[in-house]
This record gives sequence, C-alpha cells and structure tokens, in this order.
Amino acid sequence: MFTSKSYLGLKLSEATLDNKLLEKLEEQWKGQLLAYGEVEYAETYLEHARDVIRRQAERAHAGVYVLTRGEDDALFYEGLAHFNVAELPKTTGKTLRAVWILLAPRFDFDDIEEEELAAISAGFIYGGIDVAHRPETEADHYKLFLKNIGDRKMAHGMAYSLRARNPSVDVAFKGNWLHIDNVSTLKDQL
Amino acid sequence: MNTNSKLFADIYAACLDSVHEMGDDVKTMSWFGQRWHPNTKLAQNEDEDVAECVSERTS
Repeated sequence: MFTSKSYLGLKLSEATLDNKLLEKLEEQWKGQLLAYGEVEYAETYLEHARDVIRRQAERAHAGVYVLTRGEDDALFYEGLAHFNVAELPKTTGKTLRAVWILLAPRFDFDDIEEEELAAISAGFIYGGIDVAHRPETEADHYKLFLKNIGDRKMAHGMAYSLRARNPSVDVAFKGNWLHIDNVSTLKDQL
Repeated sequence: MNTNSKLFADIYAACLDSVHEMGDDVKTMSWFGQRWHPNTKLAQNEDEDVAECVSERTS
C-alpha cells in the first residue's frame, strides 16, 4: 500500500563490487519474476550493468546507481541507472548523464499508483542532481536520456510544472535529452 | 537523498502533475511501461552521446 509519502526512504547509491548492491537487486527481482511466472528480465541491461561494475577501476567516470526505498528488512530495490560524467562539446564544465534507467519487474507487470510513479521519477531526477554534487561525480549539468515519445511527454509536463514551482531550476530540452543545467546553483536546496 | 527538502518536494509535485496529466499514457514511457526484449541492444561505450537501445514492446 503506497501513500503520498511513498517517496520516503528513497536513496540513490553507486553499486560496487564491495557493496554487492546489484547482486542484492537481482535476487529481489528474481523473486518478483517468480511471482509473475516470468524467468528473464532485461538481461542485456543487467549484463551491461555487471560489466560496468566489473570494470569500475578503469572507468571511474561511469557507474551503475541503484535506487532503493525503505531500509533493513523492508528495503526495496526499485531501479537502476547507468550514469557517466563527461566534458561535452559546446558545454562548459562537466555533465552527468543518465543514459538508461531500468525499473523493477513489478513496474512492468503490475498497475502502479500515480504517487509511486511520481516518487520513482523524482528519485532519479533529484537523485541525479544529488550525485552531481558528490566529489567523485561532480558535474555542472545533469541530463537524462528520453527514449521515446512517452518519456518526452512526461518530461515536458514535469518541466513545465517544475518551472512554475521553482524557477531556480534551469530545466530544458535538447534533442532527446532533458537538461538540468547549472546544478551547482541548487546546492543549498539539496 | 533528502526527501524532506523543498527541491525534492517541488520535483515530486511536478512529476505527479505530469503523471496525472498523462493518465494511461504513462505506460508508454520506457521507464514504466516498456518490457524489454531479450535481444535489446545497448551502447557499450559510455562516451557515446546516446544509449542506442532497440526494444520491442511485447506486453
């Protein structure tokens, strides 16, 4: 049962070989798949995530981040994203990019309340701004890849509403990317 | 993640506005409604500007 407080306890953490976050996520997701009578889920994405984590030492600018909600015995692995930091052409400073996002199987097989969908979306948007302020992934800009027309529609509506609610957030679109520029100006709001 | 911050509250409220406005169309989002085909291909090079994903909606 999710309420308007379904965002409580959200956390975005880098998965490493040491913390085994990805293994724990996969174990929980396998349980979800069993409940739906499914076996395989997004294997290409998960294999790519395993590879990024395995090669962490040689690619410090890239990482897999896991979105969790809750804690201890009630910890839910809600999704993961592939982030990287790069200096891009025609852009001043560094940019943190969320190049893909994958959610837990239950988001695919169940009907999910609007409040929870909003909470997960906010987790990746706010979470990315937060990651852009961490020393190892510090960046001036944050952008998320919008894969299809649904992503664009959601992002457009979100950006329109966010500009009205908080004009200090520099949110815009370029191509298939949602840009949040000059994130350092948001440090005091984190 | 400080979910008690005003910034989070603003982003959450903006997301909720948009999700509400989309209605059932929210299922067309790759995040929430896309079931990934086993043959989905991903860009392996993080320096590419776009994750070149090929997916198939099977649900």
